[in-house]
Amino acid sequence: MSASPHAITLCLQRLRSGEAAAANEMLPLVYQELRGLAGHLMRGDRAHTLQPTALVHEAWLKIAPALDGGASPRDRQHFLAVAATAMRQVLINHARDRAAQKRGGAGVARVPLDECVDAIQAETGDLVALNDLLERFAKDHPRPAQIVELRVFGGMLVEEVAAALDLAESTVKADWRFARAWLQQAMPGTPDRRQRR
Amino acid sequence: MPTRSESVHRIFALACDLTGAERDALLCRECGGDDALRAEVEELLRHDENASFLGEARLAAVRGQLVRDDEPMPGRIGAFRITGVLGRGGMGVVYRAVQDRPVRDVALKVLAPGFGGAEARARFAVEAEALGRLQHPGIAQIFEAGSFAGTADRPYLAMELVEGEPLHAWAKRQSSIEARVRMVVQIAEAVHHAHQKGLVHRDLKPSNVLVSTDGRAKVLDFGIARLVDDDRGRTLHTHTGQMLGTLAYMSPEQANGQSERVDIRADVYALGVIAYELFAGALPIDVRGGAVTQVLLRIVEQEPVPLGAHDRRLRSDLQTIVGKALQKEPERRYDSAQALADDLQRFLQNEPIRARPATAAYLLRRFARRHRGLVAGAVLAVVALLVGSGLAVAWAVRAEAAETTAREEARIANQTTDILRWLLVGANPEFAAGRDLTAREILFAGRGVVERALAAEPVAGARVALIMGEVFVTLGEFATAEGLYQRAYDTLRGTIHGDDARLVEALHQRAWALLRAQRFDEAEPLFAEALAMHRRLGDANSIAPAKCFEGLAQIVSQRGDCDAALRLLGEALPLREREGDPLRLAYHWQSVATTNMLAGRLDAADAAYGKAQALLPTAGNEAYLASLATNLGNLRVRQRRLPDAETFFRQALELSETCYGATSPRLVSMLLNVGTICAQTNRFAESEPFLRRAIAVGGDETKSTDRALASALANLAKLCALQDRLEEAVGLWNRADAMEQRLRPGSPGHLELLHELASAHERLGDELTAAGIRDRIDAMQKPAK
Repeated sequence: MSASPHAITLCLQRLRSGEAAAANEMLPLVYQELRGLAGHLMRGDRAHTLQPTALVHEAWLKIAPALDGGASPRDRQHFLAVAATAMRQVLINHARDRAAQKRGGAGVARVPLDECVDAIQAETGDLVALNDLLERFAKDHPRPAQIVELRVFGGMLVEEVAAALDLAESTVKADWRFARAWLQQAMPGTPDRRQRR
Repeated sequence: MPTRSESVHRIFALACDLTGAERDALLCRECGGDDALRAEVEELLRHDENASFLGEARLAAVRGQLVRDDEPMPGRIGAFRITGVLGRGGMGVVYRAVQDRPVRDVALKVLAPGFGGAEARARFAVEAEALGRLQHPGIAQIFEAGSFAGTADRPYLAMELVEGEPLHAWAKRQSSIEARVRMVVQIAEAVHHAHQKGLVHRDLKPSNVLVSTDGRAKVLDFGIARLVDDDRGRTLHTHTGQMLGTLAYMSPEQANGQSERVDIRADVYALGVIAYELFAGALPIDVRGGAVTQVLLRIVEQEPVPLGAHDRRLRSDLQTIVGKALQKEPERRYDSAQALADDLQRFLQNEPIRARPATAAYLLRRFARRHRGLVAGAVLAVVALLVGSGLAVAWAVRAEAAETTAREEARIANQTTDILRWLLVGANPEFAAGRDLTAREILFAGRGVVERALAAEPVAGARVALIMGEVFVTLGEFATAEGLYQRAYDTLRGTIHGDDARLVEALHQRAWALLRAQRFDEAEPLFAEALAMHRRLGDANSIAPAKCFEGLAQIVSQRGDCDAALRLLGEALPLREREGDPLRLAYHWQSVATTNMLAGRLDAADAAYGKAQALLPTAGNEAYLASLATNLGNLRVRQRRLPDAETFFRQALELSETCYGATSPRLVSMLLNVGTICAQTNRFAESEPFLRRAIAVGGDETKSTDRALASALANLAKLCALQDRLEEAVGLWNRADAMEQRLRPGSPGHLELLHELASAHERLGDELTAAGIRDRIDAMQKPAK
């Protein structure tokens, strides 16, 4: 099942005209789209994908042609922003399911989505732990937390985040540094973390 | 007071780019003596130095997993060397390329494979050639069109490569309105050039306009919308996907799917939207939210928020110009892009513009059309009154000093329209947000505006007050209306010397409001004064005397002098016939019928009703039909045909609910009629809810002047008494008594209810109170004898 590109483009259209709430409506649609793509990967059904793991990109390529007048870089960033949240769910759900199955002891064949999760975890450490920390962090610092989400789960560059959130790049950079420091400080197993006081 | 987390974040942000002593000084200053705070920030700063956790290299690797940057880009297509990608979209890809011969930079638009059939591609080539002949500095030129052979035949367009930024980005850096106006002039002139060559853009929008570094605008994709329409008869309407990016700039006729009406004026509309957006920083019609069909409907029906509502400086001429370009009907827009450019140029040079603000009557008509559901009857009646009564004629100020008058008149007309537009369209932010407010909500919100208008511009303000008053009358808010009329009259009296048609207008309007509030004695002298002033003015074309005669007729018939009333109506008839408005004539015949009924001439009444009914179609006349049905119901009661009467009363109630809303005080008498007739046919249980509702919608009975409310109280009391709920009955009768005592002490209705009340007290064994009431009855009857 894939979401109708039409509904997603309509949401994008609204995002384009500055309606932030449209992102919330778009999220389930994009999530559905990404899960559909992830499903293909899980089944090893990758005949017509060039680079199997670029899920977000695949989803974007499915949407973009439906946008009239050329999808603007801004559209792409809006999409990536929403996709980051959706991707976060896809990846975290998959990582959790996998952990549960391992505990259950069933031998599961490795699928491309595992490769995707593993490849990302190789860079970020335990995704589920990061996700939990991020949720805690977001309570006090929603904006830096969102920037982390966009960069880590959406693969967005600083300038793309700045454009999508309508922030100055310097703000995004400063928030990113703060978030990174905070997460690192709170990450289990980080040395010297109980040093203060 | 920032939270601790916020303080940590803020200080971190300040400190993270500093080093050594500078950082130390900052931490000292910002943390003060709060050591714990400083320790927390310092720990974060230490972690900041560890670059490996979520480092940039790692993130780049993650990005590689999620997003692909490198699109496969062909090195060469046909005679073009591809050097970059400019954009991608539903239609295909736009490459930056270098053409072999002649050697030049081009934007190469390659349409998606599978686009159109062979026939469509053939037409594409022919039309692209026509586009190629379009040469104007403001239009990106099309160099050539063709089709790349290969596995899939792909049509392409090679266009002038424009180095520039999109209009939106340009606008972000512009602070002056003049620069923006000049930009729209440039764009409009370029568009006009194409129009003269017979080409309509049909998809003008800011992303199709690039601004070069020297500030020149270039319009892209002229004629492309049509070019890629693979079926000539189809419009953009059928291409849902393509439509989306275009919605905000789509003209109502495009949104409506009326492809046969799409011409250069659709481009004029799009230019209007672009201008609006450049001037106000917002879209005239909100295209966000809702299904596509709803958005389309909004484009077709919703009036744009006036430009001046965004920024006061945009009121007057710019608002008028943009408003004209954004008219729903193409005929009402500028008939060319050049005409729009010219008016903007006039604005820049402080010359009088050609566009005129919409008239009050036009605005009201549109208003009524939009609020069909809730207030149709009420507002349509107002519109009919306005248009029919020639309010505008009444305001055609007679020449005092001819040249100043014309200018003054134009100024007042503009101001009035501005105020009205504000009231009807922009007064309420919720309204602007598209919520469907009732006319009542909007008008009450707008009353303050009228007061301000009266203070600032007495004559225009008075005119608005009169129009508003009329709307309040149709909504049944007579006291509010009367107040507005009085304010209008007083303001005019203080501004205008001697007799004046506007004073006549204010006088008889106020008299009517008083009449509707059943304050006959106050109304009568005002009618007389209006008539006298009218005679002194000697304006043979005015309809004012007819209104006065009709008002006076109602007053004398209320006193029982039906013959005098019919004579007065007879004087009004030729004026109404000359006026020729069927609704007004129908009202006239209805009055004749009612008066005949009062006189007991039931057959004459029936005949007059027949004339009234024959004059009007049913649709759109709900308010009128409600009063007609009530009167027919009354007639049937008099003819002792109760079941027929009930049918009419119920009809009247239903129609009134439709046009006044379910809680309007206007429903009191309608509910009373239905309730009473049920009671008269011994259906007490059925009757009671109607009477209770009548009392509920009647409002504050200590202030209400509606005798129907007193009757509803008295009738409900009687209903209770008949069912042996005596104490409840006494309470209701006391309330009815209080109202009657205030409104018409000693009237037959009042006396009857006092008799009933006395009997009830007797039945309850309270002889003393009963005797007191009978004494009051005697006292009231004495002066009558």
